[in-house]
Amino acid sequence: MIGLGNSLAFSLFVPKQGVALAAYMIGSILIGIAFLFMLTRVPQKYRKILIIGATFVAGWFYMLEFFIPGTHDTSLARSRFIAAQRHLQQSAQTLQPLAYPKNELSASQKSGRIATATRELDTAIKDLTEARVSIDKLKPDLNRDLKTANDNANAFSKEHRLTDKMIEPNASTKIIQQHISEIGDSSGQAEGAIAEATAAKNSLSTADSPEEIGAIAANISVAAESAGLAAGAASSNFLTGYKDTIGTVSSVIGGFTLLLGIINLLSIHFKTIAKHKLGWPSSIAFFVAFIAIIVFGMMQTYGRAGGNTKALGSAWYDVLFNGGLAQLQASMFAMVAFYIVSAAYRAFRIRSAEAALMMIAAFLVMLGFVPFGIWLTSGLPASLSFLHLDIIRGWIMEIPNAAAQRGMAFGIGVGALAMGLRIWLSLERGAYFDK
Amino acid sequence: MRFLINIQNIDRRIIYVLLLVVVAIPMMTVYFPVLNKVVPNPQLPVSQEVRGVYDAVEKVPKGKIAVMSIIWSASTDPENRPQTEVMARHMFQKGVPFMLLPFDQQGTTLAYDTVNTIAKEMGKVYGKDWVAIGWRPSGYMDLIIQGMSVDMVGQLKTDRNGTKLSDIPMMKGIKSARNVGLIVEITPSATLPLWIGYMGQPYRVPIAYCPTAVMAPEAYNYLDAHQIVGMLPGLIGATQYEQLLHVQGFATRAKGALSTSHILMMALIVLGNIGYVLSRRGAGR
Repeated sequence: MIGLGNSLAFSLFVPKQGVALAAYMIGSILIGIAFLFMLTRVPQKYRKILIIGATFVAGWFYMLEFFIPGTHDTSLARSRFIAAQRHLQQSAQTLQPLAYPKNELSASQKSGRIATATRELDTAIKDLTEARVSIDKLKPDLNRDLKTANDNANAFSKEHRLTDKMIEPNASTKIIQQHISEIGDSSGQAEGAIAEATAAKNSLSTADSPEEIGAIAANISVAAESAGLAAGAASSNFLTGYKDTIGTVSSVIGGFTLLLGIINLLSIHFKTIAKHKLGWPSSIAFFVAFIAIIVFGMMQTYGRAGGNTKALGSAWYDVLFNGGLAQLQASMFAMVAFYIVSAAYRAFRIRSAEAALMMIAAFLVMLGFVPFGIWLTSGLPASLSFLHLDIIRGWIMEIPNAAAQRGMAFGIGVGALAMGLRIWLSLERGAYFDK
Repeated sequence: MRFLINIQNIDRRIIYVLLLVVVAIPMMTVYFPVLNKVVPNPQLPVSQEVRGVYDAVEKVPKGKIAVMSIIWSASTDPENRPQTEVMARHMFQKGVPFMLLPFDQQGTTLAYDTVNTIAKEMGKVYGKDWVAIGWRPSGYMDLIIQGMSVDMVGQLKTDRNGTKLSDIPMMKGIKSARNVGLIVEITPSATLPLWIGYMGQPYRVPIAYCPTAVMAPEAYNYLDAHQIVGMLPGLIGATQYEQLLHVQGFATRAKGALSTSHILMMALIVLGNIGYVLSRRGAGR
């Protein structure tokens, strides 16, 4: 009995064609309407529980996909690759000062730097080798899983007589194929990085001139990039393959919310006209614009190629969208510049030490960004290059500004997490049906 | 003295006219070359962040594509269009195939027209050197990026003309984030973290960021953490990039206006403060 039930439920979701497909589409719409109708019959307090429950369950998909460990776990390899990348970068940075003839370092400083760089290279090679071994171990398992998934899919197609058009790779096959390709790429990148790092280490023992050391440092940087790319093999679990299906479902639900918004907008403007409320002519303008853009848009899209309808629709759509909407929006934003200058002139007064500090910083950043400001200090000698306005602007943006932005980002992140949890658990005031 | 005190109350209409004049005159140098001698228009040093974007395009491996995410509309056209132009031009020059992926209705047409003009000028072929996807809703950007990371063709399905991506020559062998060599995000919105979180970091895909100047300060953290390889901050970023490409486009033409408008604003602020300080002294007596 259970077997029969399972097979019945399963066969419902087998792809259909022709009349069966049309019947399925109409049936789905009818079921949807019936479901919505039933929802309206449910008393408000139960409806709320239903929505809260649905939100809670839906939230679990992404939560579980994020937390469940990967079926073929690449996290160890990833961490080794990232560690190797760091060691390689460190090695290249240690060698950098030796690549400039102007830096007159003593023999002991030079040999110390080369020894440190070599040590970093050794550690990186060890990490890369470990990571590659770990990632290569996954290959046989993945190939076996792919074969099983393909066999199952073929058996299913045969049983239900599916044509090629009706078959799409299923989520598990897709994710395994993706995994195999990622691991292949990763292994290749790792091999390249090991070869580059080993070659750099060997040439470092004999390198003497700044040019040679500079070239080695550049090669190590390339190896670091390869190690970084090798870390790209993501770990995935059995839910990962369903992410794009869930994404499509969300898009469809989003489409319905858009429809809801349009209905709401139409209803408000219709009432404004019917009751001759203040500004009712604007509501008429809204209806004219709304209908015109839909009609001409449809004519443009569905008119016969080369026909008059398509040409007329296209011309009017272009006038309304590109000639009207886009230009109005551009004009509105262009006007903002005038208001900004006027507002800055009126409001930017040095009333305190903080305001003075802000104004100095603002002037330096503005001058450091615009060509005139850069030109002002471009004539300064190299020894005073730290006074170049673009350098000062860079420092302000990269140090104090980045520090402040980072603090804000942390605060916003924590706030977003709290808000996300509140929405997920339906704790937010005014959620759903609350007045 | 009274004049200096009154200078803090210049009529706003005078300010509007002044701004119009100082922006319009440098922009007219293309019609009146003599103005080039009057308006300062120096060569710019190329900043590290701009150089980073240039190097990233140069390094896109063969067999991989770049994804150019478009989230701008007519409102930020003067900043984002030159950025789109320089990025497309460089990729065409370097032979990096790229995909235009618009998340803004207006941007869909504006960016397509921009790139199409450059493609025709440089003799590049649609479908082989570049491809344009139709509009995708920005509200689902996170889901779209996640879907693309795993199955690019399955997620996006068709281009803007309705042609299946699997039938487009440029897309042969392009399956997932592993086949993307560079992401270029051109936007006035705070959408960068989505690319970083869903494609840049998990799949180690380099990201170049092209924001409007007002959004640029927020990106220095990502730059510092190497989560983006470089940035074109607003129009000035595009100007520096045009210099790197040895091209004189809109951005180069507009750099004079950028200088003069900022100088006017700073001069007005200074004058306003002189008047303010003098009036306070007068009141103190």
